[in-house]
Amino acid sequence: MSESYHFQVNLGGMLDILSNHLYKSPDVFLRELLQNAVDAITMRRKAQPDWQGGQIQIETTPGRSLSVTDNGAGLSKEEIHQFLAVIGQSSKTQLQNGVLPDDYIGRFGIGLLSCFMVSNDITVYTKSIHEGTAYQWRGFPDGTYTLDEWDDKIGANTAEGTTVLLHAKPGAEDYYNYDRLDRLVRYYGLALPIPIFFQRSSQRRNVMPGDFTRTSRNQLLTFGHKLFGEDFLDAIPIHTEHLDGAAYILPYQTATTRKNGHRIYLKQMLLTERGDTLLPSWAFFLRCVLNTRGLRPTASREDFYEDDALVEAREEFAQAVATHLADLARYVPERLKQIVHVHKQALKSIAVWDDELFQLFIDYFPFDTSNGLLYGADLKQEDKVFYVGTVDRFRQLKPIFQAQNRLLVCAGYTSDQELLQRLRQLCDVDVTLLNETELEMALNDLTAAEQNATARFSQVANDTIADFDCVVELKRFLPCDLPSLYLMSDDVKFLRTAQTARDQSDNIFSEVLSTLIDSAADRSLSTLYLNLNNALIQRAIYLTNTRRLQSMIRILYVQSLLASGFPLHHQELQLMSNELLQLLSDSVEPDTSHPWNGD
Amino acid sequence: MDLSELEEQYEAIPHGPERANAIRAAIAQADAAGEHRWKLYYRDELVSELAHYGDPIKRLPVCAEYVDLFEKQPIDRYKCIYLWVMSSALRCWDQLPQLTLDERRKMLTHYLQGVHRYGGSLREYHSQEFWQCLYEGKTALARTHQKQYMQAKPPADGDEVADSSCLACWHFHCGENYLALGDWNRGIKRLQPIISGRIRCKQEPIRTYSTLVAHALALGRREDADHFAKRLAPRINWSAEGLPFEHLMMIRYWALTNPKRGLHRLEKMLPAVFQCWSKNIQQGYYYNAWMVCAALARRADWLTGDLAAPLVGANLLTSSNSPGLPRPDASPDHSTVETVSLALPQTFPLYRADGRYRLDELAQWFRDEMLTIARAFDTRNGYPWEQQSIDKERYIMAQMLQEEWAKPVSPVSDTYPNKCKPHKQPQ
Repeated sequence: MSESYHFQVNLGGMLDILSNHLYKSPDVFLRELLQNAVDAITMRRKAQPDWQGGQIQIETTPGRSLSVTDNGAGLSKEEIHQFLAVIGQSSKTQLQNGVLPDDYIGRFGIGLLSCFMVSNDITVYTKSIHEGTAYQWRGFPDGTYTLDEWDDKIGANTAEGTTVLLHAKPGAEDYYNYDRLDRLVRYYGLALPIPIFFQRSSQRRNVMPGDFTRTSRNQLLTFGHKLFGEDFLDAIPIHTEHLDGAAYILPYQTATTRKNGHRIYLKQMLLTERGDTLLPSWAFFLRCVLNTRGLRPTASREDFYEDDALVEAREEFAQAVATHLADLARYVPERLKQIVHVHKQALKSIAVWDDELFQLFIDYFPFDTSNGLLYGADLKQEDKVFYVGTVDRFRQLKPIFQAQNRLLVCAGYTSDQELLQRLRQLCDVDVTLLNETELEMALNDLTAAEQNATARFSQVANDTIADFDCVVELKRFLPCDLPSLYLMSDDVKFLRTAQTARDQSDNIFSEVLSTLIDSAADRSLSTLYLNLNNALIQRAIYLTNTRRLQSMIRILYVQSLLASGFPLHHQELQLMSNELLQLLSDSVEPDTSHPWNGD
Repeated sequence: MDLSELEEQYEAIPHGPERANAIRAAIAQADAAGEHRWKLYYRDELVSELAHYGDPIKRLPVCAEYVDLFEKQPIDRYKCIYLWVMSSALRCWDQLPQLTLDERRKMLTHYLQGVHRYGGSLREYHSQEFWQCLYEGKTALARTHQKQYMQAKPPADGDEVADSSCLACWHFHCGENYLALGDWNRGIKRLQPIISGRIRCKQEPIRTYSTLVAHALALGRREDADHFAKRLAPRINWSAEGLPFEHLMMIRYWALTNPKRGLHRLEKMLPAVFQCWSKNIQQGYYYNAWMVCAALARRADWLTGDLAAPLVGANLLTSSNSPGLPRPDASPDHSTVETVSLALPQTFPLYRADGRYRLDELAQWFRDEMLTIARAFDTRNGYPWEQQSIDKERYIMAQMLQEEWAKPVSPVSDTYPNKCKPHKQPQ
């Protein structure tokens, strides 16, 4: 028969793990103390329904000691042994009628240990509302503790409640300074419903609106300014099953990846500044102060568990923001216009998925077009709108569309393509992705006679730059002063990158990149369009000197690449260099009388 | 200009081609300035952007440049990133069957030399070997590499650049490998820290949820598929450019629950799929499209039938002829569809100017394209792993579709009706 044994726990090591590795910063010791104080007061209110008092007093001797006192339920001798001395045991997780009570903030029974990050001893003076005796408990990081009865001979607080006394350990003195403590109290405890006072002052340190939906916009903005130090564009009050608070619209554009800077509370105690768990990805243009209900914290109390309640809270938030923006569009369009101007990227990504918001916002959304910046409202007035899906292609085609007085929209920016498609579906605007057929319309074919007359030219031109995976086509297009237009597909662009990397690489990648390039044998080539409306091209057609014609085609090819903003390969640089030297050479008359001429 | 400012500029741009172009511009400036450190830094950024939000094959030349630059002038603090870039390049073999196994072996040897030279972990090596063994049908050897991968010391918290992965990525790969071996329970156990929200990173938890949806569907675990799809859906950023993995996995789920919505997404993605160089992504897209077409037409037999036999010409209105599968309910909300109206690019071989497409033609084309790619991978690997996986999954999907059609019609067919959805961008 096998024998059973108990695990041996190194208490000192456990304390070290819990206090120095579970939490991200020693700052949280104050959060844990406030949390315990609030829970003690909640406990007393439940035990004595007629008692609705409750306050927290913080006193410090700067750089030396700190006490946090509450007038909550206090602890009896039995409770001290049960809860202060057993790690993982909490008075707040005792089942009540078979269920965990939901009205306490803490539940893991490990919070007090965080004080060892800033103190080498923890002293608790406590007197229970159920027992007449006051006690002094002292705990140490090696896992030992003492317990004594306490009396008021030396003036200790023996009213019901609890005082936690800490002494600064070396290196942690800064946590005992007034300014830092005051900042931490307002940071962690701002939303707490229990008043917090400092150094016996009557000025309450934590005040936050109880119901944000019943607070005026100006008051909300003032509160937002105090909290975040920003002059926000607008404030969105939020009141849902799981959330209470406000979402503030930033007055400047911000990185889409920014997730920090929120104040997210759980049961009115700050949980995290990071919004990526609770908030949607597009909420990067908002700063939120939110108190959450019914969500589960992780053990470190620095994030939420992923569960159905969290999913619901996320949806409620999105809906509240959408509703507010919709109201703005109806009643305060000028403000919405200002917001869209600053946060078009975020709002576009919302509107893509919401028909109602799309209809509200589309008139305000800007689009980059061949006629400059146009808004959705402008596009609705157009008979025909072409768009291209990449910024590069837009830049290439923009001058042609401008010259022909046709509208081309750049849909190479995030969400624009989807918005244009919605414009077609929901607003009945003739919006079309520019395909090769429409491009052919912009680049007019030559007549049969012109094709015959230019056949030799086309042949020479194509042969000349065949090595560059490029075909030459003669067309007529506007503007006339544009001799050539180089269109490069994404495939060709990538192949050029791969070729450059292969040419420069003398390592293991060279062979692999060759395989990659070879695998693309059937992919499309790039096209160099030469403009027969252009005087230079018209003259080139009649060049009989094949070498000069080849030279000109090569230079046009490289010049078009540069004009389109493509980096040159070393072969192309070499080509350009050779052709320029040749041009210079041709332009200088040979002087046979010069003494340097060996002949 | 201070080259560090360029990072702030492109970080304001959402992930996708536009951001990749901005990083390329940053590389060009670093090259012009001759700043070796920034040349490496921005190339690393581009590799990461392309791997996660672009066409994964397109990272290969960038990896080549990085390795070349680093090996000519190593920087001690970047040695882990050098190894990461090498391992990222090795992932390209999963994307393109034209890249040969000989070349892969040489690259892996080069990677190992780098690990020995710079003192990195062998985790990534075992991970790479695990997958290749699986593709080559060497399951026992794959299990050995899985063990060795897990026995290697996990990365420390916050150790994002050491080797190839952070702690969340390590948990993900441990779980993913078990799932690939068909061991759902162990996979879930390993993924639990990510599922519970305890650990996360730039890729997590979206990648985990997507993977779990895919494997739940492949194993016929309908409830699990529902559960994780519900978690995944609000986190997906549908306005993200490119062909993110999570988009493809959500569409696969919609083939079962909301094929009309799946078709709508497929329509939007097709131009990008045609431009994509990654055969792996194309295969996943075509597989989903095949499933969605069969679901819309309510033809489970299109999935279970002989893969060499044509679908075109089959009578759409005669129901399933697969033995043992019940005839689908022809209620109005589960009505059978013969043709669909789609705006597809002219480069699509079945392109029609009127935009009306027969579902059987579409299903056949997508199925055949998917099989062509799967065979190319299998031929390269010398083992029909891809085709075997498809064979297993298509029957399971057909069965789940039949069960879906047999359910009473729900008044709400879409978890997120066309309203503002919360979605989370991968970090």
